[in-house]
Amino acid sequence: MEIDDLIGAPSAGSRPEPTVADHADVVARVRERSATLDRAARARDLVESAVALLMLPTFTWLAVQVPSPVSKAGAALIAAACVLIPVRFRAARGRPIDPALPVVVALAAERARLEAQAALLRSIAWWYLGPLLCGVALFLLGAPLSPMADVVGALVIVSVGVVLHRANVAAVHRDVDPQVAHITKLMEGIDEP
Amino acid sequence: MTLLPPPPGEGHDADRARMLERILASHSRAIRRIASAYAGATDEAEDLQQEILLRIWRSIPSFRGEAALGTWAFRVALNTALTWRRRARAAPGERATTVEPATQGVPRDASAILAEFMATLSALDRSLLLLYAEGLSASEAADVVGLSPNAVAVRLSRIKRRFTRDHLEP
Repeated sequence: MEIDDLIGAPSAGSRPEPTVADHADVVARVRERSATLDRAARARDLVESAVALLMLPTFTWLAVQVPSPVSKAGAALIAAACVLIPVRFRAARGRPIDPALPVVVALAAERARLEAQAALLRSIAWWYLGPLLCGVALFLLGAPLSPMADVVGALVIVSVGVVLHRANVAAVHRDVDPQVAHITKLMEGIDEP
Repeated sequence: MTLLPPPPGEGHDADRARMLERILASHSRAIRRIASAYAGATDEAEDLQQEILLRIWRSIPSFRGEAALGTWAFRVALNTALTWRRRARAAPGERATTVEPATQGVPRDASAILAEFMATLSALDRSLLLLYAEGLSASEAADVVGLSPNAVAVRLSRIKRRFTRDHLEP
């Protein structure tokens, strides 16, 4: 017996072939699930846009209105971050990889996407935490608060920054790096006949 | 495998549904086999099958008829299965990813032996064996995976030799 004999052999536990009605039912369920996903994506985009729409004018207005130049700089930095962060997030999401690409091409594209995602998460200190937390720190520093409040505020900001940075680096190490390694292993020797 | 007319627009839900029904009519068994080969456990295979159908549904608007419908559907199914498996490996414990080996001493049917053998293959070789099992020629399989027909033929030959060596020789 060879592998070809197994391929053609009937399976003991095989299910009956689905009917046209079964297919129509499957299509209806798939359509509904797709619509649910679309609604969730629209809700996420709406929340992101709403946060940006709320924060950007608020901090732009504060950058003009507050008397302290240090607070002005902080508010301006936060306003800039409100634009920069969603732009980087959307760039990171990018265009989804076409799932109908040939398998080997799709693997290479997926690896490139994962590597870009890992680079983005590892550099979160520069484009996300840095501008936002520095902005908040400057804003508080220029505000008429006690020196003790400034120290406590600075400590909280630095702690939040360190925790978020470490969480992102750990996420790359845990979730993204193994996937890149797996694709690399899969593609090793792919050119050999 | 036949070429389809120009793709339906994003909003043409009925056309999309008809196209998915055509894919199901021709390839539902193949999709089920792919899901079983990559997800193993029954519940996981069912989930993966749903995921493959969802990906096909969402990709139909971008189908241009440049590849045959079967080739296109196999690509989507295998890419979805490989992504599924990769994510499962990255998050161990969340999903079972291995095909359960048959219990020793219990008579096994052909599909169980085949599933057990497939579980020992690399993801790419597993794809090639699945396509071969669906009756695709080396040239058609090459179109799905993106290798040359010669490379596919050589790999399939190696897979068959390995099966013979592992399972049939004393």
